Amino acid sequence: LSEAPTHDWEGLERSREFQRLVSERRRFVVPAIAVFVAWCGGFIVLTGYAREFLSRTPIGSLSWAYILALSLILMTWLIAWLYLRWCDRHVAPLAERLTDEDDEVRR
Amino acid sequence: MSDVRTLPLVIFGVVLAITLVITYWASRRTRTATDFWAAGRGISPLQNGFAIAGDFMSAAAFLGVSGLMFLYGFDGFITGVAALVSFIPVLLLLAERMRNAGRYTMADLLTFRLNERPARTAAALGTLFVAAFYLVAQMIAAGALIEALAGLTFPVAVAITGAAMLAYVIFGGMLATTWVQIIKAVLLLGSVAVLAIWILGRMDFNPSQVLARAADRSGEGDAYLGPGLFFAKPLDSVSTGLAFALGTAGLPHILMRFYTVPDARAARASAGWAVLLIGIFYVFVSIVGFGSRALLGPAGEKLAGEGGNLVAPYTAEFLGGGAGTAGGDVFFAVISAVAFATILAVVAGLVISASGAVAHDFFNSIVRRGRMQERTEIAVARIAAAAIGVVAILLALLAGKEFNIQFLVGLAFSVAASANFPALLLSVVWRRFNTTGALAGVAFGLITSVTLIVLSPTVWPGPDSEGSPFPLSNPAIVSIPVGFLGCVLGTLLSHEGAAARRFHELRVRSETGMGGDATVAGHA
Repeated sequence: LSEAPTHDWEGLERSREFQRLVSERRRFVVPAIAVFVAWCGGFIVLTGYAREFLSRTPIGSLSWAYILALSLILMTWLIAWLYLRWCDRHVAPLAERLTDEDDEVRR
Repeated sequence: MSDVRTLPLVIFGVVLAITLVITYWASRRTRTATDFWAAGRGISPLQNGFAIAGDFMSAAAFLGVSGLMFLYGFDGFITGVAALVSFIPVLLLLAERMRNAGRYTMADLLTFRLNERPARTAAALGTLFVAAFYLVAQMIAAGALIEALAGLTFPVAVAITGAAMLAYVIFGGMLATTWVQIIKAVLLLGSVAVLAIWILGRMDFNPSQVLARAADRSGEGDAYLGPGLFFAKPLDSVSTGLAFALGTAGLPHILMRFYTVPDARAARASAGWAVLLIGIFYVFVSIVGFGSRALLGPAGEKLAGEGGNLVAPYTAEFLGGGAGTAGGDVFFAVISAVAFATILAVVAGLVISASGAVAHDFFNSIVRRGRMQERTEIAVARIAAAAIGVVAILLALLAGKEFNIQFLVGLAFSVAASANFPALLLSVVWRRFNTTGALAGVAFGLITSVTLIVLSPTVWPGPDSEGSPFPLSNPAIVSIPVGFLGCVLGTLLSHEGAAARRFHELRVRSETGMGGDATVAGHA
């Protein structure tokens, strides 16, 4: 993996652009993971310990279990779509700039 | 089961013929190792989204989930939803990083900053175990399906499936596997959509009515619409849910798909498409699952077989007009053939990931220390694929057809979640994480999950026996924390300085895509 003009990985990692890139990504990923853990974890725990509640049918014959399961599918779609949009707007441009600058330096 | 049905066999034959033509086309485009394992990195995001969905919507997800729902109601749906949700950690934490920093296999990500040979050995073992469980589940599904639907015997059916899957992988590599996957995904989504909409149409397009009738004909009332009928113990549903919710992030054949696209953006986008398609798929499957109970009632239990695996085709037959009618026969045959195509595609994906573990990780990188010629590497991959295929066929024949396949897949997920996921995750997020940690994590996770599976009620000392040493049918709730514990203990108790240095490189490369394939290709 060693090619002629090597990258200064440590320098790159310390650079302000890289730090910004990481923190921009983190600004989305950390809360998204928190939502994922709470929602999905909550659902899984309920399937074990709130069975009577989940079997109740608040809307017609749609049970809480089914409604929550469908809400998880919606959550997955929403997080995925928001993340793709977030990366295109906030992360990808930074990565591109870093790569271009690095190419300049190594030329 | 001796009466051979002609129509399903003819449609199976057509499916086989189409996929083999694709394989021939792909074989002429497969020359380098990048072609063989990563389809030359020329797959588009939408195509890869369909292929990931294809890899994921296995026979277990279609036949197994609808079968479990038919028999036990909502419990069957838990695995499906949890499996979909697990794409969130894959998308947010792994997909782009794999594409940016790796080359062909799941092990590539780990070995980049860890001590190559031990870390690769661990990851290759993790890959092989997951692929083995998963493969056996799919082969059993294939055998049982073809036996029941076309009248061939279980061993013959397993052998046919095995031969086809080997042809795709050995001759067509990842390119053939991808296209087989895409075609199958389109067929499967289309069929499930038709089934679900037809079922809804029978009930005034009112989902609530589907559930009401299903609960009514289950004999369990509203309990059928909530959890608890399949997973008697609360911890059992929690443990199985966990295995599926974290397992995807350790499935080698899914992760490997992210290498087939040109760059990180395409990797992200393909995960996005996959999530959309798989979500739609599971919504439809849930309607088929509940709908099959509403339509067939208790009378369907005998048709559906022991694990409930065959309920979907029989529901199709019922919708088409019932057994013996032309419409019933045709619809039954079509759904059966689609399920068959599904299995073929998924086993091909599994075999190719396992061949990567053997040829790329084990032989080239560990035994030959990366000095193997590319042509030899592909040759070894083909031989490995053949060997893995034969072993899987034998294991499937040994295991027999009584298992519910979604359940067997659950075990594969728990090995993936316990052995692979902790090490993959920590290698990305934890600066101190080192080789010993990875080894200990994979070893702890693998040993715990496999041991607990052997000691569980499903296996010990025969299916569904009482008095097994480990009370839960799925080990994830114990083995995932043990896997993480192994990673942490191994890291903290060992003294290695090297890992932190390469962390800088891995970090920059995985976040930006710098120094990746594009650059390397420019030099070649």
